[in-house]
Amino acid sequence: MSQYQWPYENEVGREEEVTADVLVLGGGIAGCYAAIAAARRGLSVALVEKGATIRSGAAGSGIDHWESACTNPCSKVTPKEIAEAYVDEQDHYSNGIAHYIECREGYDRLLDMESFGGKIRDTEDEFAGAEFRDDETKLMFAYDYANRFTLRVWGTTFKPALFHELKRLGVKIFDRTEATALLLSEEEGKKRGAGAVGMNVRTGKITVFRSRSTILTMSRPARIWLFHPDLPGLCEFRPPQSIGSGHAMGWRAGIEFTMMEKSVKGEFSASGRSFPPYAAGNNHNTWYAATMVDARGVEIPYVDRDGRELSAVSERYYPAKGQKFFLKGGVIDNPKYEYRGPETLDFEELMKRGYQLPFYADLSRMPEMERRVIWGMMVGEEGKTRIPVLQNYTERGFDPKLHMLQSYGSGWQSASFLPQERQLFGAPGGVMHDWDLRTNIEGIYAAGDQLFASDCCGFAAATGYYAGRKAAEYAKKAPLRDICRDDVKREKERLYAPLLREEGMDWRELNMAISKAMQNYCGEVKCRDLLLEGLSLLKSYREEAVPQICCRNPHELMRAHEVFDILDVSEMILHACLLRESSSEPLCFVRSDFPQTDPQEDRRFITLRQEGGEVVAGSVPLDYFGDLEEEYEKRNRDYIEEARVKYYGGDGKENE
Amino acid sequence: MMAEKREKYEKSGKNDRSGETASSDAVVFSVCPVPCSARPIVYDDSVCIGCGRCAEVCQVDVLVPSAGKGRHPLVMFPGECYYCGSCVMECPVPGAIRLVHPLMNQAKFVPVRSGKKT
Repeated sequence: MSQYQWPYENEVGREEEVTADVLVLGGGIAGCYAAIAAARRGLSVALVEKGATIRSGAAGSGIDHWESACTNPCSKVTPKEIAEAYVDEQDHYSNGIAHYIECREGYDRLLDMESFGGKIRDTEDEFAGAEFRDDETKLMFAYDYANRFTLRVWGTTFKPALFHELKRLGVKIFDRTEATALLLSEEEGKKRGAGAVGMNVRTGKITVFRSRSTILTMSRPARIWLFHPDLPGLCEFRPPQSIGSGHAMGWRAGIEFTMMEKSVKGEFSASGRSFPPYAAGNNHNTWYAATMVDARGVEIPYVDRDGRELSAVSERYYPAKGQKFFLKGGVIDNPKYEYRGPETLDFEELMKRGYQLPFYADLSRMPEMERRVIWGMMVGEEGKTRIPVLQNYTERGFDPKLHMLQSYGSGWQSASFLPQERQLFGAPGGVMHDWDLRTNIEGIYAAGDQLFASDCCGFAAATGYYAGRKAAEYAKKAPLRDICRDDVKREKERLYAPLLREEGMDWRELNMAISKAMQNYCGEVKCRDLLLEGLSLLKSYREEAVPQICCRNPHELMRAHEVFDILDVSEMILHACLLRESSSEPLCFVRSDFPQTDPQEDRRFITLRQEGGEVVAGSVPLDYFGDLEEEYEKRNRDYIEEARVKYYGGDGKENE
Repeated sequence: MMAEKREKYEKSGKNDRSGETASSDAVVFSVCPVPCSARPIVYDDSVCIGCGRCAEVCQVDVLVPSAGKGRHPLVMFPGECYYCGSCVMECPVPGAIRLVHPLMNQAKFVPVRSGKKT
């Protein structure tokens, strides 16, 4: 194999110090909005992003719809209604605070996006007259056309628009810089956030960030159970960059987490049996509500929540008789009767009735507007479909008026996974927080996928901006705190160690071993002995394999540290699973040694954090956030007034 | 000698706060394309102008700039490609980059059928 010269500068050992009022770790949707909120309040902001902010994060290359924009002028629902419905739908293992913020402020963030140059309306009148479009505002809706709270958006324009706005506001962007550790100050036994360490993933340079407040906006963990050493970029739904480093560094720093025992059977992975998301015939999210047919071309019926077959395509977008609204989208899998929307007939029922496999999505039978909005706009704007699906399939000759696209599973997963092939999906665990989105450590905030029970793009944007506001308020009063040089020195030593080895193990080998361990010891059915066995195996990897990992350049070093973070998160997950001594349906959690399902005494958030190498467990009531509207309004009077004037045509005077 | 790299690094005195120290050869980086079963990104040399925008926007950093000016970047880590298409979307010259999923991920499509229930 021919060797190439490393094309970037070698800055190993070089260190710089950067000071900012507010430090944002992660440059996805949540991080960008957090930085914008703080910068708008006149504070100096540094944003640290492992990739390139212009296209990084889970929504980097696009997003096709924006959920719960309940305050848009066409919406027929209130933020309270939808946020409470989400909490109820998830049996209260839900992030009420974050959902309410999403429902209440998500549309404000879309209006911000539009002011930055992102496209949120059908300004070219491409869909004029369509049932899903409001011809006055030119907003377009998905799912529930009666209640109009989910918007179709042109998300390929979003990240570049945010990136340019960050630059315009003077946010200092540190691209290609991986945040690796939180720095804390300790005064009179109290820990506070003081900054973070970052490492350039092209040059190896270390940056020590000192800040008055810090916001974690990195991804949820990934590559815990699913890994493919040949095609690691395809083995998860989110980008390979996004593996939960925020969870890992938070865990190491003593931040409190919850719901980490929850994992679901895999839903997306394109490196094995599964197909890339929205790349095969399906009728979910991007493709809702595509017409599905069986192998003979016989149409598969859609039914309402009462099992009534729907005859017209249009009926798929309206609540059932007597139902106010229905829920669909990211975390809504098999909703309760109250929130269930139109769906194709149950797979098993279809088999009983003699429908023949394989199924196909057949857009040719849909009204022209519905066909064009799916194959065109939605498939064109969703994150990983514009080029590899819309463009490539069109080049291969696919024409939605003439062809039907094969489907490969019984549902939106586009594949069948084994029960032990798990993912943190469907509102997974994350940082426990208060109404300020503050963590248990003063000065450290969190938003987006970093929060427990996180959801979609609108969730990330709204919580990001909110955390940015709160972190800015705090930073205005907080001093810059001293950082401990020894902490920095230890972190540098940890970071560089794999570069200083002459030979050793590749990062893939360790990732594969962790994933196999997690499938074996933390699969679908868990029990104490297996979980302990898992912890013991991971401990041996930490002691024996981690010191063998060897990297030849900063890129490999970035991947190696991702895997070390995956190891930390896997241990946190095993501990969280040990702490819940019962089974739980909403948490998709089965303990063979504690088969009792959702006993009253365990209907609570179990929290965990690390202190002095020990796991400290805690318990928080499910509805700790109180009445969502009341508690929100109590704490956000200034913003409510600001928003009324800025986004809703208010006159600048308090309403009488 | 097993500890050669570490020794050099420690001797170079860069493991302290000397932020201004110029780079030395304490740790020499090396890289070679990491083979994988797929070929996600293919450049058309006759079209590519070698501007390098694709490598700048790739969040996964699978592309590295080519040593030759005006040449397309090298697909150094093809297995890590996330198939998001940002490189193609950023490319100023249509047709310079082709991004295609591995063969196994090409979903099948057929002409529509209007079957009857039997």
